Amino acid sequence: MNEAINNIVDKLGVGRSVAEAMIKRSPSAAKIAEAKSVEQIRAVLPTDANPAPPESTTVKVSLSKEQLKQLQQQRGKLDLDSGKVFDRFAGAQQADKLFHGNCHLTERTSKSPTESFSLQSILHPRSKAADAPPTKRKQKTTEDGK
Amino acid sequence: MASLTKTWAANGGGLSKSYSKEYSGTLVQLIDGETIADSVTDQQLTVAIDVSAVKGFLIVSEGGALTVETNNGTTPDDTLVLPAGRPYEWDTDSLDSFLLTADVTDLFLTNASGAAATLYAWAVVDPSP
Repeated sequence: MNEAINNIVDKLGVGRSVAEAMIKRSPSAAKIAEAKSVEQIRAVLPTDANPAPPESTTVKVSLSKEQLKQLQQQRGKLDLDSGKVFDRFAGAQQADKLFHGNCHLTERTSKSPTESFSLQSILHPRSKAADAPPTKRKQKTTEDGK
Repeated sequence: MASLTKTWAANGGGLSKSYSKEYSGTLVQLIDGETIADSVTDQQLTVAIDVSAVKGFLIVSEGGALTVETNNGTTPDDTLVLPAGRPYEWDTDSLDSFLLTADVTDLFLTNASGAAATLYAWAVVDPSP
């Protein structure tokens, strides 16, 4: 990291704090440290034409296969609960038959999709009993119809 | 005749050993690098395994963990959860019973590993009594 900062300071002639900020936006500090020219550094640093990848966050989840199936259809859609874009689920099935792993969500960008979904509604679906209309109670009748 | 040769090796604590055994039958059935993309549920793969005729079996997923279900993706007869790069293997000398308990006509493959997976399998079978 220090080598990359020094390289930016030397070759681009910016201050150390500016160089640190540039590194924070670029995931390729090793490439910057090895860069031999200003052009090579600029090729690695994020610019408007070459923006830094959006930051991602992960949410630990456990899913049934049916939930996994639903979730996998939401790739690239906006999660209304977090305001982030669902990228992918990474995990594996375990002995309890559930798929345990992480949902990867990324920050919205100008290219974010318009389609949306709710991660929470997949993770915690409302029970069918709660959705069902209340049943009418049968009136008790006596044998003679009263 | 067809055969499947299995090799086991262990190396630790300064001791290294390897063992090998050949299993023979009339036919070796293969899954030769079936690709299962990431985030795929129930990719169907048609196979035909007569479980009672299997003499040796090995299945492995490369690249990502894989859930392999037999015959039905919703109510499978059997389920194998394969970690990436760790084979499940069975043969007639195995000390435990075969995890495939019913004849297999289709596999349903689910990849939630975050990476593409490639499936390989060998089954040497001998249907003769």
